[in-house]
Amino acid sequence: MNLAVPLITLLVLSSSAAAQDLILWHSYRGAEAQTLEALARRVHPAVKVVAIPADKLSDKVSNAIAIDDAPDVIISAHEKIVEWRHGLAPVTFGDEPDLGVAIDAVSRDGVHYGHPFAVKSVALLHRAGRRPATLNALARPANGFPLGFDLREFYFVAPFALSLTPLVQEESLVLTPAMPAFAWLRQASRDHFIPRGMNHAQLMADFEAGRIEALITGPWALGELSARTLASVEVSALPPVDLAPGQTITPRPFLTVDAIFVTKRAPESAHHLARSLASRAFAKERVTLAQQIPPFADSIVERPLLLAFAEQARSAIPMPSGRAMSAAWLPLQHLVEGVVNTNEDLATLIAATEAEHRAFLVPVASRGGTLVVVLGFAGVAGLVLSALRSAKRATARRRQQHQPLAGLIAPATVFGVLFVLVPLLVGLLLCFFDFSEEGSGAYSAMGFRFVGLGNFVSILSGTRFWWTLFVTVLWTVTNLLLSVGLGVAIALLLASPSLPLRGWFRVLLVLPWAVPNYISALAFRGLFDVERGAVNHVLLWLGAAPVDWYARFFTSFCTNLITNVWLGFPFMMVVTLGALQTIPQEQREAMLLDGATAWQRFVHLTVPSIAPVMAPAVLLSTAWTFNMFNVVYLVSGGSPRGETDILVSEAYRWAFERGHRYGLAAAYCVLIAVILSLFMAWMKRSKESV
Amino acid sequence: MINHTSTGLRSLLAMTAASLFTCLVLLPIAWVVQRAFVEHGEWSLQSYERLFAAGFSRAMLLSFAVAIVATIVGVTFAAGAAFAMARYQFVGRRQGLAFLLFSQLFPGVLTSVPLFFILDALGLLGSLVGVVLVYSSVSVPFSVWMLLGYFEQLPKELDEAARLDGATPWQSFTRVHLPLIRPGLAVTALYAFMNAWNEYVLAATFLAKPDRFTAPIVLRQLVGSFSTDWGAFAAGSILVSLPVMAVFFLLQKQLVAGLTAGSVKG
Repeated sequence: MNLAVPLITLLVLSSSAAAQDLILWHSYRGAEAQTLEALARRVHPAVKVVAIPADKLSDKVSNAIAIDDAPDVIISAHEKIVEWRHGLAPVTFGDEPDLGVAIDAVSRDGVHYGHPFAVKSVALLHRAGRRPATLNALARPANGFPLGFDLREFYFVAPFALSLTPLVQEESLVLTPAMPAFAWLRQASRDHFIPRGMNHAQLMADFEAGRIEALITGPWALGELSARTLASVEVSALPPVDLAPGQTITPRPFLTVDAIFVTKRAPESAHHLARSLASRAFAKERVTLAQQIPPFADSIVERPLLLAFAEQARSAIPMPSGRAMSAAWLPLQHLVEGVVNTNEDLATLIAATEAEHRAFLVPVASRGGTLVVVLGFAGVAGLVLSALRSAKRATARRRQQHQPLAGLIAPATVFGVLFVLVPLLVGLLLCFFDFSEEGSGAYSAMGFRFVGLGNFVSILSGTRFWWTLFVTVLWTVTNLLLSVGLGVAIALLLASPSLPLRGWFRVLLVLPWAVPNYISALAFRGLFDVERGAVNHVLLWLGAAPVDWYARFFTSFCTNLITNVWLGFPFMMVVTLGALQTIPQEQREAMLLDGATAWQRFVHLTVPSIAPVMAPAVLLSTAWTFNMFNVVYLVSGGSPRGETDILVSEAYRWAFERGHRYGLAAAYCVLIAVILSLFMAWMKRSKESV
Repeated sequence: MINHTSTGLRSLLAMTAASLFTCLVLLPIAWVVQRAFVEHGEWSLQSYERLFAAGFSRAMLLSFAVAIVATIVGVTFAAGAAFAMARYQFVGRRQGLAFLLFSQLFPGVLTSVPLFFILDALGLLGSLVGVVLVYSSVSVPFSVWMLLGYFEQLPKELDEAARLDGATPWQSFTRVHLPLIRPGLAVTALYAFMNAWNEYVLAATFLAKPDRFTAPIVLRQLVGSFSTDWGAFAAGSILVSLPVMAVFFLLQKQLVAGLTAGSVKG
């Protein structure tokens, strides 16, 4: 093969990034990104403006700050300043923003850590001239819903809770005062006042089509409306809502302030760039081109829609920053799922949510530290001894050594050691430590604290692990049964000489295997959507009731299962087709002459012949399925309330979604490895005993 | 006569079953195609225009370069190691084999954080070279394990004959053994390529500059937290799937023969 072309492409592309003196990271898309880039270029032509996927921005910045390699300027939501503070430079405002809440959001202890750039909060988007006195008074369109917002995201539910509770107080969640709001939401979704399970895009489409009277949404929605609709809508601050007779509240949404941060090492030119981008002079352009709301009242006076959003921002509540909030999203999402999709008692749900949040934050107790140290020393001593022994044997056998072998093994060894063995060992060490980003006291400067076997004790003593283990085993077994069964059946069908166009079927049926699995997973997620998914459309067409697939464990588990069987059966089919070719033709003919039925031939000839050939593929597929992160994470996403998560997605959540608990994540990974190796050993033994 | 009718009936039945099942299997793919080419109820290529405006063509090219180089490097190295392990006894062979299996037991989550710091120490963070190095090494254990099966299937007499002809291990590797396991190489390479081509988490963690983003990163960028461009995403999905499909079609025969041949040893 010709190596030159890709290599040259790589070299050219890596060297093309000549020294750029300023780097700016953000996570805007579309018009907002284009406007930002144009403005930044105008201030500083040699700036490198980098759009990072929204879900990766904060992790990347945290990592970059940890290794002292941060970009000069970062535009991000304000909540991160507590975590990033030690990497950020204090700033002085150029033009002082008018919006007090925006200044508060970027300041700590009287120091400003960023320039408020754009404020974002939700408000009510409704038909012109039809602002309701209360949300309850919204009219119901024919075959539609009075009010729409994404009921699966706590961000949109928050306005109802935030006027009743501060949400986060001293590191814990306070939800009980908001119980009337949750009760109202449950009733509103039961009454089809608010649609369930519709995402932003579907809500927008229904609003355009007149099937939803009003939406709770943010300024980003304006850019997506057609010009015709845009001319006939208004935005208002959220009107009051009657939760119960005699109990009326005015919803208060979260306020997020996109801020421009300058990092510590950045040159003065970075401060100049940040001040200019945040300036009053650029505000008008950003309003017109990007529908952004700068923190200057006069910049949006001519834009009534944005003005209304800005008005709402004044009474909005700045999103709390810090790890108590960042660990709260998952439990809160589980709470909303429980409120909307189940009949469980609200007080129980709230207690469970508060407990889940506490569990995410509680430091791991140190356990069995001495044992780990002693075992560690013993292990190292054992390794040294065995190395010495094999070195001795090696000297004895030196004459038989093939010197040229070194050239064959060395490259793989070097790569393997550097990028597989070392990360693995470091990862394994992590399972004896507890990590905390805001760690202080017992935590080292990098945030680590030795806890011995504490992580394992904490995991194994909770019920969560055992449930997840059960789900993982159920997941692996059902997947294997279905994909092997289906694979063998289809292979037998395709192998039968009476089927015309066999080649074509084979090519078409291999397709699911060829599509990257993250793409199939996202497509299936959409297919099973409750309101707009193709599967429910078919069910409706057949006269059946639509199913809220992600609301209950069984149906949610089935969506994962169907997706994975779809992905996995072609592999089994291909393996079976290959295995079928190994069946001796003479034996088949002999059985046919003996008058054996098709079933007899299958049981007595086909199965025994293909089983040994397929066994390794089945074993391999077991390990893959056991750790099939993409499907579980992207299709059901753990719904309902994390119940369909498997061990590996649980490990991922500990590492990246629950306050970076790397130690617990590593311990989960070790447990996964132990379970898999026990399974392999068991398979080997049962194979030998047969 | 009777026999003839039953064959016809049977082939009709088989045909119906196969067609129905195939349609069912292809439905999700049809849905993606529809999202990519239909906008506001009519055929359009606007999704593709938005996709390319987001820098997708360069991302595809980069992904391709990264995946090809990673595959070639990884499989070449793996082939050398697998050959040595299958045909010779040497110090560390047993430990090496054990480590290959051992490393496959752990999920990738465990190594992603340490890898970040290793790449940083090597000064390769944010560079495509770093990503290529990681991709090629991550695929090595699996590739060695697969190729081991193919090498072990070759008869021992082959080595003897090569040795008598005065071939060094290197010569017998390149001239005798490698050509004989070509189907195995193809299958292994396909796996290594697919892994690199589809990888998102590591790439998104290591790469920071948009002119180095690979295709999966750009695709994920289209799926925003508040708004998602499903049309452009579907359009990109089709483009990303095409190369893998093409390789699948080209390698159909080797894939089937290869997988079973490689798996016989267990």
